[in-house]
Amino acid sequence: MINLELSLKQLKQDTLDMAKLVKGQVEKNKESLDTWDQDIVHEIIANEKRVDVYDLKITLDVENILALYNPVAVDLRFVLSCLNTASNLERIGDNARKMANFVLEFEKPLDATIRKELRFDEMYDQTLIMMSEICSGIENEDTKLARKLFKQDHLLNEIHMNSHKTSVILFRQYPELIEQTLYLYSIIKKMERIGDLCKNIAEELIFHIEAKVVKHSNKKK
Amino acid sequence: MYILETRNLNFFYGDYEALKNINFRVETNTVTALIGPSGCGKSTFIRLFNRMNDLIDNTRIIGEVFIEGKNIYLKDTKIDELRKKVGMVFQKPNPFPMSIYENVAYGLRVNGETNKHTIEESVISSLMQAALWDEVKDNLKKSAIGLSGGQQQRLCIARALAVKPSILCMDEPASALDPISTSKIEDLIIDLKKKYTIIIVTHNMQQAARVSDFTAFFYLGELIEYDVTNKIFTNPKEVRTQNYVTGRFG
Repeated sequence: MINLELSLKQLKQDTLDMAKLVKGQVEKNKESLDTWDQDIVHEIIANEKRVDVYDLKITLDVENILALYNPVAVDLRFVLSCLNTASNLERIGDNARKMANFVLEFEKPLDATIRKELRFDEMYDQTLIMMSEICSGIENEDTKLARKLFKQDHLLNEIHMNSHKTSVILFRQYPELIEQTLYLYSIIKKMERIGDLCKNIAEELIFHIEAKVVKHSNKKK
Repeated sequence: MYILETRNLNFFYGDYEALKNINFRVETNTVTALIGPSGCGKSTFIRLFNRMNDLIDNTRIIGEVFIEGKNIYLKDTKIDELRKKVGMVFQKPNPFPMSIYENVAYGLRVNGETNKHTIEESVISSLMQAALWDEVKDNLKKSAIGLSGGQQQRLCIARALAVKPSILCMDEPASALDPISTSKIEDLIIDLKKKYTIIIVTHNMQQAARVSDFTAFFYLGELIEYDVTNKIFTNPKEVRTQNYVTGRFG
């Protein structure tokens, strides 16, 4: 059974490394949007291949563990949660890369007023906190932290919900910045998606540790 | 009413307490797997159900074992009748050195059945139920010793079924068999559940998960956890159960 222990330990390490890499991608993306530095964007694009490699490696590792060791109980839940976590992390990585693309496509940095009105920085800071908590949650198998994430996601949802109305107001007030506003609106949409994916990972953590299936549940988690 | 029930059951080999205060119930037409490390008392427990442990010197039982509501450890229990009711299949196939037909017919003859037609019907029916008929129907007069290990084990199951038991106890019935024969035995167990109540001792966790409805985990003579199999293998209540099913001890 030593082999199973080693395989599970390696799987956890790979999942954690992938989470840290994806967190780095989201952080770099913020930096690129702040500085409008295209070199950072190229770095994000290059790193996305590493994210994909981690996703494939974890999928293969899970396949091997299931085939060779037939894990049960907590081990089975852990393996399944890693598989789903990797898939969610890969999608977060995709969103980070898509957000970074705006820096390549758009010449001017984002306007400070629009950023403020759409609560962009507030939302991004919250997203970064959630990404950090995901990493700590995976590392320390901490379900309290995972539950905290559900509440934090409300803020992202709220900012996203209001961004539509705010954008319309901004179109009228700053017609010359319509294109920028639209870009920022779609970035906000992607951040809201990242929040949902973080929440999915938190649900996987709870499933692994507490054997509770909280996804698709409208009840208080 | 449960088909099998133990109440405050303790069993001793001399001074050694092999089973400690076991309270256990089995529903009709279910498969119950007994799991646990070697020496935990599983086989001792299963052998109490047809009083096979009576054959061992210096053993003692405290508590009650009920089969179909009757305490089988009362003095008026007819052991032969009990062993017809509770069949036993062992780890190593043990066919008698006689023909395939006679192996299955043996139990009937011992129990006084003389009608040839009845015996033949029962032999055919038992071999069919044990999923062996198609493989041996043209060789019934041949020696059972010439059968493969898997076929021998199914013959032993047919022999047990011939006397029409209510409960079939199996002590690691597939541990000496190759994967194909094991798979046939497992399919057979699931099929036999429709007519019989089955209790199986196994060291193969996947086998327990595949074939049983309920699983009981024994450790050092204690029944640690007894629940539906799905629960035992996905989210057991007891840490010791979890450690055992995940292979962390035992």
